[in-house]
Amino acid sequence: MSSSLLFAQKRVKEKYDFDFDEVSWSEAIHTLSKECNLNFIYSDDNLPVVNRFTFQKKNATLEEVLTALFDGKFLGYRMDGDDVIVSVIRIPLDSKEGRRLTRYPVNGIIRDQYSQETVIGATVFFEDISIGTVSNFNGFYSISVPAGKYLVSIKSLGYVNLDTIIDVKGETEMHLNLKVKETKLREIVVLSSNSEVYDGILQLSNITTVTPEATNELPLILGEGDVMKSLQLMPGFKSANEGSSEISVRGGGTDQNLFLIDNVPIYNATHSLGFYSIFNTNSLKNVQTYKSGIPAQYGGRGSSVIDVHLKEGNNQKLRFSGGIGTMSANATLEVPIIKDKSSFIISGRRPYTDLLSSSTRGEINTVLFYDLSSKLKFQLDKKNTLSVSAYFSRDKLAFQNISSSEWGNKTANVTWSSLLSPKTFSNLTFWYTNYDVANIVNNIPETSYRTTYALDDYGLKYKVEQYFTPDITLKAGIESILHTYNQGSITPFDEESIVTPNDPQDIRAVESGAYMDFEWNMNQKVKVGLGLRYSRFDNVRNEREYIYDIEPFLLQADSISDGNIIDTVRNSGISFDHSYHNIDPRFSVSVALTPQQSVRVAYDRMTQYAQELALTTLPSNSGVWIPSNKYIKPLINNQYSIGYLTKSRDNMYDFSLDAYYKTSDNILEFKPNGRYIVTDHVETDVTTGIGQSYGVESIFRKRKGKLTGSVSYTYSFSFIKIPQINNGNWYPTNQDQRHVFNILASFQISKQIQFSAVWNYASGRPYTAPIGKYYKEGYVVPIYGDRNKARLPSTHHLDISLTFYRKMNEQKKNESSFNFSIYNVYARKNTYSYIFRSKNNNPQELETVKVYLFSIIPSFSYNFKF
Amino acid sequence: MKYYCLIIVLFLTIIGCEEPVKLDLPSGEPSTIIDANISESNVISRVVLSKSLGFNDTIDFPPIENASVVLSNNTTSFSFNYVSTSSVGAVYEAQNNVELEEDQFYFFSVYLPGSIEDPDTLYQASMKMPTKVPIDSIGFKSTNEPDQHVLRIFFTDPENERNYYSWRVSQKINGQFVLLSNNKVPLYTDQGIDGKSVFVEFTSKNFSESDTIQVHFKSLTRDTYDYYRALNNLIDVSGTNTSADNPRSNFISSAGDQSFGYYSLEGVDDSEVFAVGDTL
Repeated sequence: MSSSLLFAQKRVKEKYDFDFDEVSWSEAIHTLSKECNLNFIYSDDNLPVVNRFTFQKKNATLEEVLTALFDGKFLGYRMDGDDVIVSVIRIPLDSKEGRRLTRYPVNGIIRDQYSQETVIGATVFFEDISIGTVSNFNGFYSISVPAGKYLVSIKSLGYVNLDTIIDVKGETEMHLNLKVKETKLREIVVLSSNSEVYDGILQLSNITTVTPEATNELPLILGEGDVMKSLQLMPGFKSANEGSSEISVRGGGTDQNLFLIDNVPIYNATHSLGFYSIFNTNSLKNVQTYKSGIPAQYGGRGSSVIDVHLKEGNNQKLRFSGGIGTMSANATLEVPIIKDKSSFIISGRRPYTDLLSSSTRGEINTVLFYDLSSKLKFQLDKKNTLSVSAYFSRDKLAFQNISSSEWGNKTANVTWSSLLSPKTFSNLTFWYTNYDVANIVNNIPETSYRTTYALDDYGLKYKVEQYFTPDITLKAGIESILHTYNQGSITPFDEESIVTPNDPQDIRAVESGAYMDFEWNMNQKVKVGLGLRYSRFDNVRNEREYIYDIEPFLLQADSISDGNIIDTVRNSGISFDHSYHNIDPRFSVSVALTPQQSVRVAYDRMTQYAQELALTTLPSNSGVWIPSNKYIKPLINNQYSIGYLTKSRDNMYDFSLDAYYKTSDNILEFKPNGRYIVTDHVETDVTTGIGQSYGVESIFRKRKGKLTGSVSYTYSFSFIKIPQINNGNWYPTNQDQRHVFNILASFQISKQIQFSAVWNYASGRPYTAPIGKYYKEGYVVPIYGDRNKARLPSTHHLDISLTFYRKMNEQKKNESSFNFSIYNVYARKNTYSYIFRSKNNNPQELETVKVYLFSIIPSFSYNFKF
Repeated sequence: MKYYCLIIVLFLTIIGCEEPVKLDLPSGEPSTIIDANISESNVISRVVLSKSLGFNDTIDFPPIENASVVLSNNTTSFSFNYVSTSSVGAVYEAQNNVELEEDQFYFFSVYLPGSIEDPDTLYQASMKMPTKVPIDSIGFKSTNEPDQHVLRIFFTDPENERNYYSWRVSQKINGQFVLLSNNKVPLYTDQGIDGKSVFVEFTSKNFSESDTIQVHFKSLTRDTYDYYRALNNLIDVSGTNTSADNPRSNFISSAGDQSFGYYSLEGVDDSEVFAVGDTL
């Protein structure tokens, strides 16, 4: 015995050249027994079938190759003379026998230990068997494993990693509580980008997550942290203009992003003048965005999804938190109604801008906005949860009592989440969203009037998530939305006004969809996602229908003008006028090259049935949403993308590189010199074109240590072609910016003080330059050349901030922070636009004026929690 | 004021800063410019022909002095002759009093004799004469400042037709009548006030009792109104427009080149010349 052991010890030191490249276990065993003269004693049933073995090394010992082959996780080995006895430590899940094993669902909800809020996107990883899953938007996860004892590791951004042992004997419920990372221990200030996610679990989508916590540490503009501004530091997300919270994703228009607040779409996500988004940072739980590999459950917009989830409220203790800043104040109250069962949260924000209104000629200009959100959550029983949430925002601008404008969003939703079985999770949502604009023109009271424009949507959505096996998940659902576009009522404003009200009509349409997302982990290295979304858009026949005298084959927005209207027909009752049907396939594959590297390829087709046309580049309420109808086809985007992610073994550094090519059909645009008036026959004022965008995005991050940060770079193109514009030649879109650089660095000066700096560089945007001038009736008028042919100068600015924390304790009570920021430290006058206009003192002479927004702006904010 | 202008004004007053700059802009080919506002008013009816300039040029607009200009319909025709050259081009005036009938189409043609390099070119446009809406009365509104009054033009909009309006004011300054300039073309439609008696205001300048003025109230066609609206988009700019479109000229050229400017027929009602103090 001892001699054979000695012999075996000698044998394992024998050296050979090995070249196993993606071979199966049985092939490897076969080769080894032949070439190294070994006898393997094993059961075929226990060998992995799907996984492949790679080992390429010259002059390696037998011990090295055998240890690699039987790594002790599932299979082990011992040698006895020439015999290699393969022992089964745990039956590999992909072996014949492994497949016969009964699997038991392990499911539960992952929550924040202190507030009991559910945690979105946490990874649950079974280390022993190398499989895992991710919690959904309700914090729910489900995974099926064979009976046994496992080490489970749970990770989520901003929380301390949790390792726990679970003994699975049957259906198992495992609710988990995660502890918030103390600020001073925070390993990563920065926002999560797509490279975050490859942590043993392959993700199919290009997801960027932004946390409110990280946002509050970044340099602020005008004293307000904004998740949309944080997002703009990530590659592929561009600000629509300097200082603007509007976002353009991969060359798409700002109307191509699906903004969801608790699953309810939002039509205008900016507050007055665009410097703030409508999302109050302190009321948010999580913001997840998708640029590619977009799950089929999302539809209705062409470029991206920005999925915002509001906090649910602490169901343990009454809490009050808030903040004051240079421009605004906010407050949040969380009330547990029944401990562990139900909670209520209400959160509001309001600026002081109206209190500090600018005064011109003794009359007052007002810029005011506020927003309010609230949510009620009831845990009905162990398996059912009901939540009700509402969001309300309002903006008001007023100019010297002469004119004013108000607009806002209102949303409400009721969601019933139910665990139908340990493997089946369902969600039923009924929602409502409203966007309305009212403008008052009061130059002369006798003819003063108010115009309104409103959008109302009612939606019903049902979705089911089925976690079949650890490797196969199916998410499917149906939804239907009733859209009502009320385009433009005019009513008298002042009592004296003699204006006759007009007769606006509601334009109605029903948008419906059915989808399924099928995710399949083929093995530990390959994950495939197949999504399919069928959507249809049915226009309800308008009560007042316009008849155009034009050949039927020319009957599309491009070729009709309101001069073609020959008749108006009155329809009564409800009938459908026209339907569009579309099938949007979504496909993505993610392949792990090594534990530190992965590659993802995706194809996305997205259909958008309503597009927004804006009259100014300023984010404001001037945009009008125009639904598809029989003359206006829906926008369809096709995107092909590929991404590479890598990270260092210690998770200190990571890097990602993405490339995309996107084509667009039926991008809506005003006809040249369009009438810019909202009517119920808007097809006479618009035209459509095609577009293409392509680019490369990269980000490098350092995630640990006293100094953390990221460097991101985007190189991209975005073009559009419209028959009536620039003689039908391609021209750059307003979003076309060649280079965008963002450097973000955060340095922990002491446990309580953090210094952050952001440097942004962006190539100039295109603009239309004059190529001459002429005289017309007392005015000298510029002659403009081709659209968007000229470029504004490139812009750059450095912003810094110092954040002071008051010591936090474990329970995260009585925490406070003070942020002092300086925007544009070196006070560069970045060109916002050029104006070519007549001189004030002499209308017969033209001048060129550069407009710049901010030079240096200091600001502060103070946030507290009780 | 359009409501989106409000946003722009607030935006610029609150956070925007301005700085004059000189840009090196490319120059296109000089184009033919025909500025023709034809009406029965001998104060504001005029034709000016010129060539366009490069944006940064500081010279006078090159005049076109040798053109033949004719306004005609099936029954009558009016010739316009070159009378003088100003800094903005060559001015042409009608030889006889122009009389225009409502709802009649009038053709306007400008014939430019060519040179050795250029062939002759004919520019043509047509338009229907709009309904002329008369001024009912003139009034004034006092302002907070002493002896500063806002001019109001009262009129009755004809019922059951779409009407479009503009107006100009001339003032006697140093013995001469001068057309006052506006920061943009004043425009008004009867949307919401069809068939009613209303008034519009002249907002570019306030008047005092000693001023002597004359009001010219114009009725426009829909096309002219659209042209002026497009022109205003270029005159009253903020740098935040999504696009800058050249207002489309209604001239068709025999050479196929692009001309700028516009031919409009306007129903103009000239008020009496009056002293502001008399109407207060």
